[in-house]
Amino acid sequence: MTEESPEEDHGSPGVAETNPGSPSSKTNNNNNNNKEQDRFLPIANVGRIMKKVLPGNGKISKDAKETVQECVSEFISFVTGEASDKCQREKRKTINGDDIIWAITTLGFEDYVAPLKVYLCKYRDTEGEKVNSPKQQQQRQQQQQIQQQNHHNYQFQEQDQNNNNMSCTSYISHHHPSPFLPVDHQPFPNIAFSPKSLQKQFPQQHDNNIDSIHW
Amino acid sequence: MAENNNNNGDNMNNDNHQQPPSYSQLPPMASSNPQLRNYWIEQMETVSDFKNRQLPLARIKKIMKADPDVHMVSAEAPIIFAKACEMFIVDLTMRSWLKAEENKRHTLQKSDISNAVASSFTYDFLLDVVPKDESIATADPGFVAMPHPDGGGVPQYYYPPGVVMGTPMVGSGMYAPSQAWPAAAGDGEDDAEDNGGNGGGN
Repeated sequence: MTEESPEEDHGSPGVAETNPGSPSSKTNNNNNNNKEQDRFLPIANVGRIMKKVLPGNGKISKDAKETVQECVSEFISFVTGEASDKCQREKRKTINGDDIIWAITTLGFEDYVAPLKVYLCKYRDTEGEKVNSPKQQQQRQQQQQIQQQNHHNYQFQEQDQNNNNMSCTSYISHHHPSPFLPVDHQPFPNIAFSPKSLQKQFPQQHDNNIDSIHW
Repeated sequence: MAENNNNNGDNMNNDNHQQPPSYSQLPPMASSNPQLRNYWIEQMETVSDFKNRQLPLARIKKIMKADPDVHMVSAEAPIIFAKACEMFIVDLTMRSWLKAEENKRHTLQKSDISNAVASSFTYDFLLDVVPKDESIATADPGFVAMPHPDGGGVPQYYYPPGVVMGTPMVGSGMYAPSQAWPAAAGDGEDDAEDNGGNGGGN
């Protein structure tokens, strides 16, 4: 798939397109380095998604589309920053899908979490079918390792996952209850050593008994 | 534009719409909106094409990489983001549309988005992106209904200062609109996009 960029840190070649809007109106205080159209998602795509959730008589002004454009970029930066902080705490360099979902959960977008986990699960099922590719295989192994690490982050969502009847095993709980019962019942032999009892058994050998005691 | 569904034989045909328990924890604004609720239920059942033609993955990755602390991004991260951004746009647009309908308008304005951002604390990170200057009502986080001026000749004069109608919603209570706003078509108000001169307000 050509749309999937490799993980190496290289800049994508950007096409030098003429900016349709005026540069002054789109000045962002946060970042002025990148090109105008590269900092936002295409306004046509954003407008199309907005349009399909409005009723038939609904219209969208151009500045509303531009505002949502900026909001989406801010959403990406906001979530990415949270996911990046988590990766740094865990001494990892690569941000993956689980980190994105974790950040979205942390930042208060709970409604998005369940559909995204279903989406990510199906994506990995699809990618898992391409085991022939060594890169995909290595990547999948890496993801499985990270899944085990991040599994505890989705404890509170297990009930949702069970209701979804997921076929993907990555979200199935692996609780193996192994009851550990410490057995402290180790009876020791009750041996009572009494010189008097020996005197009763061997009264005629009193001197030998004393020697054995001293010895 | 038909969207390709990539089932891979793993299709979940749920005839009964099973609703995850987490939906009981929906934000008050969303849970009272049947349109948003149906959207979340639909998302649980829709299987999209993972190449995701809705939003370009390369652009998403470029926005992620704009953060100097971000080093490596796996191939699945932009794909998950494409879906998350679509949900974000739908969520924000629906909440903004509620604001437009409250003012009996059928054209979504920038001020509707500002009001939607101000009325939900989840969107607090957007307060720097969406300015609040053009709307005094954003100071009130409760339910604010603004009458549309009959003059109509001033496109920037949507919110007269000091006029507040309706009952302000306090805390995390269930959102219950006290007035049923007419959603009928043909109100005859702002059917055409008339925001050419609104750029000066930014």
